[in-house]
Amino acid sequence: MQVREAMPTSPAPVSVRADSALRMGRLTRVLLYLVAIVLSILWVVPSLWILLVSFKPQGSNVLNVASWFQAPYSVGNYVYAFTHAPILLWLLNSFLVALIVTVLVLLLSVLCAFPISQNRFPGRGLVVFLLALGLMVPGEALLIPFYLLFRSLHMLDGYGALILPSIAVPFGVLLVKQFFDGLSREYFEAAKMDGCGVLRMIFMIAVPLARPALAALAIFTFLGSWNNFLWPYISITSPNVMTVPVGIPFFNSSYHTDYTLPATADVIVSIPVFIVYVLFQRHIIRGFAFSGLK
Amino acid sequence: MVSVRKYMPSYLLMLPFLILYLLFTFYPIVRGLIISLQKFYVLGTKRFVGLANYNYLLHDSTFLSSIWHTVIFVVFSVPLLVIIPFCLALIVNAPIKGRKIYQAIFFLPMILGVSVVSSVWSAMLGNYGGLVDAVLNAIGIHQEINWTAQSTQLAWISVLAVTVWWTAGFNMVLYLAALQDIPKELYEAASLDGASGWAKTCFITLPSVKRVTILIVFLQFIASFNVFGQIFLLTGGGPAGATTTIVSYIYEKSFSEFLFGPGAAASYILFFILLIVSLIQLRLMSKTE
Amino acid sequence: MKVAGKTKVLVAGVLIAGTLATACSPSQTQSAVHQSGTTTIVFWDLFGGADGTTMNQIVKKFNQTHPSIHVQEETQDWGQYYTKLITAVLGGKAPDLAISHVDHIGILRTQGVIEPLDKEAASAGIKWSQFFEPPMKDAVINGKHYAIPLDIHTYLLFYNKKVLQSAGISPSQLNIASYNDFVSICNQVKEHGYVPLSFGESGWGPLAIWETFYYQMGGTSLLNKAGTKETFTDATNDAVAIKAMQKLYDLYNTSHIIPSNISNPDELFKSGKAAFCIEGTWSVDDFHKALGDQLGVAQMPVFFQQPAAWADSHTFVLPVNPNRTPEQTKDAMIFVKWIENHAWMWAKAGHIPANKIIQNTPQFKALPYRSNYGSQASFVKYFPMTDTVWMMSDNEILNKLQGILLKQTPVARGVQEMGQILDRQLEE
Repeated sequence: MQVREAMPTSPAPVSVRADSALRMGRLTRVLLYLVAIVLSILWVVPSLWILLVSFKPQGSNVLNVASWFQAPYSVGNYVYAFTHAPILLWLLNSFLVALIVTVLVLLLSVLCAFPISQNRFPGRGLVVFLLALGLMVPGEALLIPFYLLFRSLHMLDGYGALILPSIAVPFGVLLVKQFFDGLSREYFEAAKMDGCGVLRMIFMIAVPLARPALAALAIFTFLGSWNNFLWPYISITSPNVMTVPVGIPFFNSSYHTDYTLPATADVIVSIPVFIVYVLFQRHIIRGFAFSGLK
Repeated sequence: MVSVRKYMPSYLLMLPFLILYLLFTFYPIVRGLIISLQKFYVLGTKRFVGLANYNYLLHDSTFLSSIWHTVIFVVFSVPLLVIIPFCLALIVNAPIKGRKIYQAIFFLPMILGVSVVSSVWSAMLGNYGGLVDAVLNAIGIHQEINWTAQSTQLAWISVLAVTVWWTAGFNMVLYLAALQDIPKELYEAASLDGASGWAKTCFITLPSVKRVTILIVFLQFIASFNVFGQIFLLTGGGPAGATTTIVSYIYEKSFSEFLFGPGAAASYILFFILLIVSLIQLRLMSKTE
Repeated sequence: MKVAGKTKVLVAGVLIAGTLATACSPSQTQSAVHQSGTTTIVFWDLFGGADGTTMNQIVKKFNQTHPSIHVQEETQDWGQYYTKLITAVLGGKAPDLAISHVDHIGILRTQGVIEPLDKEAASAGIKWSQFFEPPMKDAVINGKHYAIPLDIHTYLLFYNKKVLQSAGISPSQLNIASYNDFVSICNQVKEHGYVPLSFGESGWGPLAIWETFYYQMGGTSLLNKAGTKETFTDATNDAVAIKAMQKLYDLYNTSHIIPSNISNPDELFKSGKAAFCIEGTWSVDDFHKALGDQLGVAQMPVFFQQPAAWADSHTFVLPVNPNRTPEQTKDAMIFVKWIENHAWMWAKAGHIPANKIIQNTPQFKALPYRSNYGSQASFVKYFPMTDTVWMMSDNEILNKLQGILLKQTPVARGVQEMGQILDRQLEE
């Protein structure tokens, strides 16, 4: 797959832009602004509406456009949501699980990818084959064995069930291996001459060089874990262990006939993520750019 | 055995990953295959039944239609999620004011997660109170349309719209990364030759994003085949089962009816479909290289 | 961390730390740490509608009056409730106490999810003779009690007096003696620009109306006695089953009394745009809060030959849970007994308490609207209980039914196919 033809990208600064070269006609420019603004409105209206609805008192009339912009507004929903469901705990669980999964994926991938990339040990072919095979299996196809496995490990409904299935992913190993493959061997030969141990070699030389690839892998993994729904939905039944994707439907199921409280929960879990995203937006884009996925 | 000892550090480094990999990917693959050949009761007996579960599925109209529904979703969602993100990327890559803001807006839904996205949109798409119908009413179209449940077509349109809104930003960023990698000299040279903006887009931009397009198509295919969350939370597979996909079927069979045999068999069929699709695409990819 | 400027990391860190701090402070979560000496009872229910709030209050009240017991209520999604319950029991994470519909306990028993509670109920002082007969019939399997009934809930006809008045119909003289009466009243309402009947088109609601029509037309039990075969497509019932379906179909597609697919019928009725709403007893209090004196409540009209109304019962069950200590079991039963004794609180939502003695309490008698529908308990009709199938949440059946209403399958053929689906499932 894509990893195969990945090349170590020379880290050219992305922010350098070809503005002068992209000069365009007046009409095109106006058109472009128009399209950009219309699309942005389409994209942003659902979130704004939910924000608005979340400030309407519980059970109040939100049935027509006019009612959205008329009083009453209240923060009652927020008070209610905070006191009736461990929403912040779900947010924290999601963050922690995504963080732990990301760190472990990076660590395991680096450790495993380095020897595959640098050494021709017996059994290397088999390992690569197993990894490539695993790449094709969607997690959605393994729900039953996962369920039985975690059941016999007595780990259903716990953090283990949330973390363990996501940390040994072949995608990560293959991505990092591809990047290591492209590194000049001289770095490592020289280090070896200096009597540098293999762990030192990995963490002092290989990892810093592979930072762009690792950043990309971290972003992919974090987003993947953050959005993970089906397996957590099946395995987690206690409110205190739930992540956001499981907690929100759980919360909403108590308020079938109301728009305002689900909207409030949506806003509460979205705001911290939004802030973090805005802070790191540049790095996320750069991560994609350096991902070697091109 | 000398070489094994010589490469001991290599094996040790791989060990943590490989143990976890064998336990949490490889063992489940094998276990799933075995269960798919069994009549399996969680709290009771298991009995080898050969291909009976597969046979059951091939005669289950719900399963066959779930494959068909999944194919429909793939056929519509993949092109939409290639073309729209590309256009979005062109917009946010153009030298216009506030492009960072547009970029943030388009990517935002991706970080909300499927549950929040579905929760927001089920409020938007309901009738007598949903945003879409309210706006239609406000501009004089007095229809109360229940977008997610009224008809098969509307339900699919809703699911597609939500999927695009949710995930277009991800593919847009992949495109954006590729666009920003195009050497500006190409555009400068073209400008000197008097090429128009549109010409530059067609003759420089499009060819340059070919590789990333192939990648996006590949990833999107897999993601679309595995579609579940937004459908489960938005339409519940309805109306009248019209949006039940393969993964919804697997979920229903396995964790609602607790028929693990057919559930595992359906999982394997999904696995094989994906394998074949992946192999075909890899083939095409290596050809275009 | 050169990658991500120090300020940003700092802000992100503060944000996460803040979340951490608030998330872990006990006042924010329901599952706060309790002082030693209290037993915690994890109690699962599926009260997602208006009755959810009522149950919240009951649990709160119980916890306040019983310092040594802490009941932790966890409400699961109605549609996924039994899936979640089975998953949790199989996964060794069962709740200590749970709600089940009385006609679902056959399945739960077969799947090994619940256990008999004769002994526990006896020592808590539950007297079986005090309960109404319909829910008790299904609560006993092979001579063992598996469930303690909490309520009888049934469909009622709600109406909006103001809407009826403005459509020229006097609410005090509202007389619905037949299906045709109802349709003509609804047509009059429609001419005045209101929604005649607010009712959904998906889920189990239409199935319950079909069942009501079927029994009102004189259909006999939906399944044979042994529960192995459906009987509504038999020679004796076939015509009735199809006619009942046709009359339901007509409401959506011929007379258009029910607008196509309302996504939230309760909200629509509460907003004052609809004249009628067929909803469960659980909505009485909720509707009253929204509409006040405009609200009228009537028992299910006799649309056809004889009175009948869909009904079901919520019951308490003991999930199989090896981790539940005898003390927790005892305390769970104290909770059950307490609710039974205070079931007028539960009746506030609108339900009819399953325990007959509650009917005579002053608190129950003081509740509004009760006289309008109290007698409905005498003609309620439950869905049949089996070891494998519960029609109310049977997706295949419900999909087929919705297919009929969406004009994808002709009425007569659709009913036949529902029968075939049911027969196949009963065989499995």
